Amino acid sequence: MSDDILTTLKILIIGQSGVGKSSLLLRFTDDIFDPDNQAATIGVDFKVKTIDIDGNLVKLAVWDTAGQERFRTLTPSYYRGAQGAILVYDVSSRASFERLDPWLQELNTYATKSNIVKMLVGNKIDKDRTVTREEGLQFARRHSMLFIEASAKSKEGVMCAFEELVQKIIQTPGLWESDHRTGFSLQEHSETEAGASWCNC
Amino acid sequence: MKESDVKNVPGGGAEVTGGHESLPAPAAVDEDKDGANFPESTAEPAEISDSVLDGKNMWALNCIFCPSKIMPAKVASYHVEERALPKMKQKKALSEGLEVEPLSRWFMVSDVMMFDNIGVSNAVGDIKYLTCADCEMGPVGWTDLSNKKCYIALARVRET
Repeated sequence: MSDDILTTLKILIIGQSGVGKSSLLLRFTDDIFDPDNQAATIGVDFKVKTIDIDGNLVKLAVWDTAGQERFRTLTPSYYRGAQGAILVYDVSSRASFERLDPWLQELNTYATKSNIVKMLVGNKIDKDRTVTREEGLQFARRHSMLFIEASAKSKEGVMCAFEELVQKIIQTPGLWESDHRTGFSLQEHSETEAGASWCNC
Repeated sequence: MKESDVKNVPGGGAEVTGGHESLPAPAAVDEDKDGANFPESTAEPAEISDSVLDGKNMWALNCIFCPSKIMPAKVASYHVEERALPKMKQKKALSEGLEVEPLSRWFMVSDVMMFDNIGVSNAVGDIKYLTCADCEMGPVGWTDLSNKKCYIALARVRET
């Protein structure tokens, strides 16, 4: 089955603390993890997910900033080679919406692929909103981003967001390569800069 | 299955390659005391002939707790090495120390992207733990940051 993988993509999830990035990290099932679970305590660095897009299997490496946003500046290696980025805000937090600009600037500064596909996600639509759908849509249009509203709590929109993003990446010529390499490096996210990276476009 | 692929020693125990001191043999653990359905362990089966074919995982490996598929069949190499992993269910507070259990049977892949679905924890020393990508239960295995090899515990996955 691995032979049928169309491509492997690096997707980033960025945005302020508390907007629900982690819950967007492809969490579709009921929350049954053990709060004392060691791995959960340590925190998830990234996930590999295989999804079916129009009959094609696409493998995603999805990176969450995992609390590093508190230090504001993510290492450039976090952004390197990413084909897609999901910028998340909380529709019930005006502040999280107003701080989208610096995130976008950072993304545009460090993204190594000029045609990286960007998606804006207004999260937590199950809560009382202070940001209208129209405002989100306007922001997304202004910055040529895809836009979707979601609630990880109800799973609403989360799967859609990933599918739409991946579809757009697949439709973008030159952004991805047919999958033949296995050079993905666990170290890539850390200080270790050398060696095999995603792909060298 | 070729004899050379597995390093079982007589008595059903596994060859110990790590530096652990006389860890108990992977024998049957006590019955589920809580009566819950939590398959906390992880008693390793005596026979692996139903799991390994030509040195590879005979079946697809899935999460025990949810439908998530961790890897397809015939992708990973069977590997025997005694190593302690934190238990999936910790009964005591973490402050009292981490409960671990020795495991010896693994399926190994050389690259994390060979998984269909997997979660990778932040680094703990020179390893990262592997969890289910969907429900985040784990650890189901670990990865060695020095050589990127990933190991899934046979006892912590469901074979289909």
